[in-house]
Amino acid sequence: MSSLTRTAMLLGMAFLAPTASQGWAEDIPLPIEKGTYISVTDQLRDLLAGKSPQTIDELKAIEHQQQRVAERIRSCTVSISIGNSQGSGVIVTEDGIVLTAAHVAIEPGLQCEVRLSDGQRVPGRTWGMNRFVDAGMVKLLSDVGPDGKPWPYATVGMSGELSDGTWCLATGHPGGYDESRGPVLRMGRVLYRDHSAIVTDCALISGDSGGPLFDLSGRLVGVHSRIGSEVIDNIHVPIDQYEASWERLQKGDAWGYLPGFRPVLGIRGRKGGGAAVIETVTEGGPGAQAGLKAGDVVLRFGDKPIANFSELQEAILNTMPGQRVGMLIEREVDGAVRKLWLKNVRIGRSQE
Amino acid sequence: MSEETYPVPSRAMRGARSSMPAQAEKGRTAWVRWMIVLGLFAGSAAAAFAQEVSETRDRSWEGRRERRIAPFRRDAEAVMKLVEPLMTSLHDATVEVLSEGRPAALGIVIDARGLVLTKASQVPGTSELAVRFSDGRRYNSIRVAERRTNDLVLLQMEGAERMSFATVAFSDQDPPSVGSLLISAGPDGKPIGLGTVGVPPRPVEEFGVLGINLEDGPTGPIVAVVLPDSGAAEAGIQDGDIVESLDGTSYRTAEGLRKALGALYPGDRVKLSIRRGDERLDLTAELRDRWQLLIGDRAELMVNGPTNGRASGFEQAIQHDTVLEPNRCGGPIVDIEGHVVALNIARAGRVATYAIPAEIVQRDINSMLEELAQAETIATPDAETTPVSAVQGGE
Repeated sequence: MSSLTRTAMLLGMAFLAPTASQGWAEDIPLPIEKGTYISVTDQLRDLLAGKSPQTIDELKAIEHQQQRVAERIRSCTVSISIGNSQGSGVIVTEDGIVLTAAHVAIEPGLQCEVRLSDGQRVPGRTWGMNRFVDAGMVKLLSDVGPDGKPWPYATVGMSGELSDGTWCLATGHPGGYDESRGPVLRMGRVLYRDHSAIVTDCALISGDSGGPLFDLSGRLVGVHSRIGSEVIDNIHVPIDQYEASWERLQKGDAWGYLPGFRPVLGIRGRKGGGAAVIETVTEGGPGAQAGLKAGDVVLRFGDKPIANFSELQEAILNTMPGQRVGMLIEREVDGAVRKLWLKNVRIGRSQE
Repeated sequence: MSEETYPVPSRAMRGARSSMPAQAEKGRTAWVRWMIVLGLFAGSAAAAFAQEVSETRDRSWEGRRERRIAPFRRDAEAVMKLVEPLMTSLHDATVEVLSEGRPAALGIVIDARGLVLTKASQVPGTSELAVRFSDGRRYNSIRVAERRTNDLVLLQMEGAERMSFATVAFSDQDPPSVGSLLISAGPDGKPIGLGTVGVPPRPVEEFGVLGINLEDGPTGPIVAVVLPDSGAAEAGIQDGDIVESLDGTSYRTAEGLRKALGALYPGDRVKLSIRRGDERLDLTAELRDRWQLLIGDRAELMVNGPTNGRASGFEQAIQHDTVLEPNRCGGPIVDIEGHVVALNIARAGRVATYAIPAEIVQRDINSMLEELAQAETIATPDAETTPVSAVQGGE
């Protein structure tokens, strides 16, 4: 474990370095031509700050920049599979830290299969997740790419400096990884932003989650999270959120829940004690629908052994609403204690 | 099951919102706002992450929001004004194609004698077709040649053979690269959408399915399973139905029928003769894209918005992100220089519109024109209007 911690710290510095060296509207080129950053011409500088293009020449300049950035951001865009779920991600350090959505990484310590933009499969492991904003982190197991070279990585920008109207580019794997297609580029502009979310009209769909949002200079400014019903409702995690909780994410902490998506079972019990005893079951709730009863003792939740109610609560928080899990319980039936396996327990959602 | 409480998945979401119970709190209205977390679950669990989120918001706030963000959108009025001059040359050559009087597609005049290229599956030969120009001129039209592999069809405007129309010339340059801007033209010389190339041209395989599993029975293929929400289910096909014929041809084995169905495209409609007990039924069913059946989740279908019945099965297609109504396909796309680089062929989902690259379109146009010329030499010298119908009858 100590070697892991050491690596993690180095990676953290690798992350911070490019951020610190770049401000907006900066003329100094990067010392090494690495990452996805491509400096913009004076003409495009105002557009980075959200101004609308004023002439057809400015649109042509946008196109030219987009074409160049598109080539670079492709190689650091990945697909992440855990079990039968799939999302996207973006490599941000040359030794293989991948940023994604918390709900794609699911929970800390899981093995995952990462597919690079050229289709190669490489193993990874989930690190931490700040579920309040849907920020997740994954580490590629190898610190170098398959050819022994550093991983291709995205230059990290600052979401705090985005403006309404800032032109941006999104990639990811809509509908899941497709070998005949690869990552898909989309364009749009920032329509709204606050500290916990960026809304753009870069159209996203299932499978894009965790994929990167870039500004026109190829700096990573967000990670795809969720959508609304209108095609202009596409919501991204601001990149500053990752920086703010970088150390906890690296350590493999998981905390919070996404507002509106808090997973619940509709059961109550007492914290502490030697066993996870269900004391009450909310009528009509997900637990009741799955057949849980007051007095049941939960032994396993999914593949996790459960020793007390706090562990059960934590295990539930590690799921997403709508997910189905198996539960092993102990119940007294006609005076005899029996073990029951509830197969399809569907996790519910609290409106909180 | 909570899914069943979801509102109807239609474009009429605003209507659905207003029917939600109102919270009598200072004039605020609660409605269900859709929010989907974008993780993807393979297979049957695809619906797992679709969630509805109730939000209490002031409706006028929502209106203000729309107005507030309007100038920042990629297709903001100011941006569209900039690209409008790029399509002046297309003004008279981009048309609307009507099917039974309703707008079904856009079309492109490709020949001065009144030939219009459009999306075949939007303009079935069984319906009354017409071409309408932005100045109101309208011509009844008939199909004269088709290329099924790319869903393209040529229409002849009737009574227009001796007139001279402005036409569109397709670019002979390489297809636009990823990141290039694409502007879709409307019938009035105005841009109707702005997007970017997301994926370079590639074959888009077709997955048209009727939604039935077939087994061999003593007298012919028997329907074993009907998938819910499929074209077969909608047509009323049931488990145990014996399929006596497909479009007039009978198949002795399930394999034979499967092959015949496999050769068809999504959006195609087939006539099935069915024996059910002592009954004999003639049913018409539509093949659908397989992915739409697999999604099977209303929330997911809803966020995709309306799509074309034929949204797959193209020899080569550019994938771009222009938001387009299904009946606005068939029209031209220009690049930032004003060259006509592709033809919109399908709205395939929230993130994808497909376009056939200019080179392929031009090749198909040439071969269709050749086909017509040959037919004319066979049919003439009788009358000048017959060649067209002769070709159609000969198909």
